[in-house]
Amino acid sequence: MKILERRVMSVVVLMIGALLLYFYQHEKLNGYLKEKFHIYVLIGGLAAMVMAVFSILTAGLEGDCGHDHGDDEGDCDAHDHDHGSDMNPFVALMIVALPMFFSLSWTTHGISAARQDALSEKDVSSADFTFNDLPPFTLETLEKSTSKAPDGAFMLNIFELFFTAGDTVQEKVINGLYVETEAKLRNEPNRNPDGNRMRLFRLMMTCCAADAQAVPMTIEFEGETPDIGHNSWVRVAGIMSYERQDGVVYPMLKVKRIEEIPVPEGEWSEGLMK
Amino acid sequence: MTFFLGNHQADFALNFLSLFLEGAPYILLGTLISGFIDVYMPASLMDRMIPKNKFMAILSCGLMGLILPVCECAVVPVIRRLVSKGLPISCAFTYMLAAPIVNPVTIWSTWHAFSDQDQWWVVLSRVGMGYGVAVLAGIILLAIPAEKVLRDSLLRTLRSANDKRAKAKSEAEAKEHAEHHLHDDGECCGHDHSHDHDHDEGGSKVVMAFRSGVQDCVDVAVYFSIGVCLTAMFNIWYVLNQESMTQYLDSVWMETGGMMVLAFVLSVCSTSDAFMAATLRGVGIGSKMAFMVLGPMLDVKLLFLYQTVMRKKFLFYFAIGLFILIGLLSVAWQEFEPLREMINNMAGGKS
Repeated sequence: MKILERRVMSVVVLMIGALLLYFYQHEKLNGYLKEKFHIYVLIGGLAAMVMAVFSILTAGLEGDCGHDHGDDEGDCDAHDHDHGSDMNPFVALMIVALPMFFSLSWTTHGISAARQDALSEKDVSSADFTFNDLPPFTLETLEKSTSKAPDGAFMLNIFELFFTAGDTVQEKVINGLYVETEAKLRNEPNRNPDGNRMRLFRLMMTCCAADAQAVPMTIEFEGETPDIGHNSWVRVAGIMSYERQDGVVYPMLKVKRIEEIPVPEGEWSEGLMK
Repeated sequence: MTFFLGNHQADFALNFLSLFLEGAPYILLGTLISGFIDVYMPASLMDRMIPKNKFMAILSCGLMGLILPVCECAVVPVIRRLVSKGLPISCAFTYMLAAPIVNPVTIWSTWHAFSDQDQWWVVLSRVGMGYGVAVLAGIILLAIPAEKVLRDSLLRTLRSANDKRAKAKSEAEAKEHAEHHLHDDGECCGHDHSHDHDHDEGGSKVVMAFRSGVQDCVDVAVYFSIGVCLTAMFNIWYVLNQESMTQYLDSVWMETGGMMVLAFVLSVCSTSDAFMAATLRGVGIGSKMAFMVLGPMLDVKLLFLYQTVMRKKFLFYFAIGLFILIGLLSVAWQEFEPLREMINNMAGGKS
């Protein structure tokens, strides 16, 4: 293989390494990957850079690959460790670089409003999920482990509230409690007979942003629904209850107060919003 | 690209980058390993390591992931090199399919993810089914000639390596024969006649190892990029249509098929897919198995990565075969209640 082709191939690897290292130091990496994968991004990026730089610098050398060569074969390139490739290095460079380039120029580092709408529109039963890391749930443990708002509302996140539905022990503890939570707000697309309901949701990620799912919860107002922008972040407090429909238990919050808030710090699903 | 994506460019970008960032480190690891295998691993090592009996060889290769644990992205470049080093195709494919499941990292993550849901049953089911499918694929491959399986470039490499091995072997035998005569004649010159052609220039070997790794990385990265592009696009489509899709998943067959499609489209890493499967409590164990066994063996990006190894026609049948086999096994698995009870009782777990 020609020296130039070797160098072009090394540039492809260099590019991959640069992308990994760029994202490793980027404040929004947690919008792409769960934290447990971050270290692999660093290791992969460093390995790619070392591999690529070393290969660029040694592209002109004819190496010894260490196995037997017949006298007719001369150096390693005659039988060639560059075997097996039927990819033109310049074509390879384009195929790898183009989607990278477009993605870098298009990304907002967050999930678009349209996708959030699509994800949060679906009714989800808490019975479809299970979580192993929830602590034992009694009123005493709740009192000990949970902070309260100045007006006495238990400050719980929407995931904790959502996953109580369908668990009779947890429902007993939470039903009728005054709680406060923070989430995004949208219209209630499904179970809204009197038109006085809206929906809270937050997105959760298992491995990477591509597998994001929405965890929703219905909120009900005594009068009209408030005039708060679609997909705004809100802090809501109210009385927890549960609604049973077609064998599915849905958590519901009867709203006492609601206010619009800025995007919570470190929220992975929100990008830099171009 | 804008034409295909409409106003979903930002979501495509997020999907593409997140899947790329997740998979690329493992591909780099795999290609680095493959580069060093290429240069440092003598071809004869394979002959010595793998049992002579074909079936025993396949069975043992299915467990190689316990020693050389790699996920599905990293395993493809590794097996390309192992095949060119003389590992039989049946063994290589068994390792390729089994290693992402039968490895300590995946076993641990499955154990951890299902810690309150029949974890013994789930771990044993996943490892057992993954191993079984991989071994069965290996046994079937014994009957298929390499020309129908491997792509031309890899086949050429394999043939060239085989020719060299055969030539080296015959030369060695001829030399041994000649020396034998020489020594019989009592004309031994008193020194070792075996010349080591391994001119051990460590630095040069490292150059070749890195060069080989870079080339593998580029070969695989091209297919990986295309696969991730398609996965990112499918993912956008799936999210927009999931409501209409889920209404059809009303039987165990449809649910299993649906979970397999999900595994195929989402292309979640085998080291973490158990966490995703574990959260889906409304889904049956068979469907979860389908998700966790098919995903590490076949998904959109793997379909492209496999093209660095297999012929397109073979890959088509291979993919269909895997889909049907895993689907049938998963549905059957769901009905194995007595065995499930027995294993959980033995483990003292909850059922």
